[in-house]
Amino acid sequence: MSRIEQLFHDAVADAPPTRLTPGELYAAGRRRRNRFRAGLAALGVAVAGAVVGAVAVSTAGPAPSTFDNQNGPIRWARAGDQDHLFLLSNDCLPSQRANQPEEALDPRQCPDVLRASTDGGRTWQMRPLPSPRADWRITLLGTQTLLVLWGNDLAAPHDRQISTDGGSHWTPYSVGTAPLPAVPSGSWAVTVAMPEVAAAGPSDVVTAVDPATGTMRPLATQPPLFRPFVQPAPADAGLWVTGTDPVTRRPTVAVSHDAGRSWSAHVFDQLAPEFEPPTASAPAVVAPTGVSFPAYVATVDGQLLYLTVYSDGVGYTYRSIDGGATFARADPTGHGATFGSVGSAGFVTRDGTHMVFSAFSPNDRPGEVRYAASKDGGPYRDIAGPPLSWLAATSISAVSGGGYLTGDSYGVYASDDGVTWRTIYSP
Amino acid sequence: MPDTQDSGWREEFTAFFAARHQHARRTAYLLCGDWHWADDLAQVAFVRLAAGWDRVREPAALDAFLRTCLVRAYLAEAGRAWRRREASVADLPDAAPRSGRDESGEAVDRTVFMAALRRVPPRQRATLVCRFYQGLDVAETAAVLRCSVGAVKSQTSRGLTALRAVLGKSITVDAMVEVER
Repeated sequence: MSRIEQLFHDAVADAPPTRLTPGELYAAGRRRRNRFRAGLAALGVAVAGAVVGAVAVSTAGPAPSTFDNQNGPIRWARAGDQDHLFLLSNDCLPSQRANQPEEALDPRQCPDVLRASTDGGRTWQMRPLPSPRADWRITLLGTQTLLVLWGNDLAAPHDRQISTDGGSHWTPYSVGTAPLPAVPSGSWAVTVAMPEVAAAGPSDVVTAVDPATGTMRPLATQPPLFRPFVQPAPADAGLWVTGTDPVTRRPTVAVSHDAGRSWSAHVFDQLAPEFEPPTASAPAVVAPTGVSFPAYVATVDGQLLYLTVYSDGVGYTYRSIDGGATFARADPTGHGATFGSVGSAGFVTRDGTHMVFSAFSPNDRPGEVRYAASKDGGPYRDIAGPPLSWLAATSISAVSGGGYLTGDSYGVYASDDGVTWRTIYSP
Repeated sequence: MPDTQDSGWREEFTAFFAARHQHARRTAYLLCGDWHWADDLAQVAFVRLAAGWDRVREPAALDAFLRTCLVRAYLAEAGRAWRRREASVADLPDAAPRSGRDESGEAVDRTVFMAALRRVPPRQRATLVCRFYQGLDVAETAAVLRCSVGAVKSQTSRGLTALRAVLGKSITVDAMVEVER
């Protein structure tokens, strides 16, 4: 075994127990096969539904299941506000699978479909996508502006398309180097690698789309961060960006309450630097005590917020009650090690409780999760969570105007309070 | 379908799961960097395998099917995932890291290796996992990723370059030789 192979094998030497059981997996697979056969029989109905182009779904569907998809999985969903929702899925009509075995996922046979709702998920309408290619990256800015990017060539104009009317019409968008003084009304910021902005160097830059011209341009005043990343937050909560301090590489958060005209930043000096691979001019950043992972922000109103970051293998949560001016550790006597996933900020409920995905239930039943919940910065306590999959449980985001949205491959789910969830779309 | 036939298939599936699920989960973990996500990916792959169990039963084909499902499910989710940063930065280190790199050079810290691997773009990462964990050759990797042999070589080379730059002498020449295997 070569050294590189040894590294890969060592990395997975201590696998934790799995929650998967062969009986459940087999039963789910057989249900899937039976539905596939039923789908073939109902092909005519399915095609007719696709032609009509409208899908009505129950607003009080069954509890989300991690097993029940027949059509292609949902890949992405976002809410511009309580009314304007979007989702992207791979819809494999049975005709596309006819006379073929149950194939491994091949997106080329299951082109993406964009759906939009303007009534909070009660009804969905299909919207065109500018290319049948499947390797999309799609971003929602504001309530109606969508960006799609595909291919690997960031500089190729045909790889970028914009819609400012919720996906009804698409046009190539251009990238301008002339800075915007602030995020325009109706738009939202996004971080992108922008090779056209030479001064940005290897780091991404915070940009915004001007809906009037369909041009993406960098903000004139960038947050003082290396590798900035705009955090998902309700529009009226301010513009939150995490990254690292340009000098120390320690986790940092910056906020703008004036649409990106000015920024204030807080560096978490007590945490290890984030890991950075080496460049031609700088070695890799690895602190003697370990590495930190990027920070995530959860907030509803921009005043009360929680920042979660993993450092030296431990999860830390910091709480601010003054819009990011000051931070204090939540649960300062706790160890925070029960948090399940770095890539999730958790979410803040209406009463100010911070909830972070903790683990699956001891029963190892898919769809049963546990949360660590902290109120007023106190200790995190273990509580039962809603019946969501891990992906959904770690992807909950607050919606502008109130409420929460999340989803996984098998459904899009909405909640008014973060506790009780309803299925608003399932394949 | 006769109950006895389905019962037999269930037993066969259970035996296959017992033999291969750890390998599948570990493959998924190397791809995505999170054990929870790895379970989700393994779940997708095993459910699809169960759906076609009566049609795909040659042992080598089972492994190939499972592997293909894992890799494609990962690439699909990484490219258009629910979470915002999952494509470039994955998840929780599983234990408190040790003190950086072993001075003797005999062992590279697992956390640092995983951190470096997480920085490798998803498709390059998938290529590396196929080559150096699954032990596939260039042609087999190309079949999994549905790309050309040349693309596999270039993706492997780029991914290794990124890893080697971080891990230094820990990745020795033999790894680069294997790129051409």
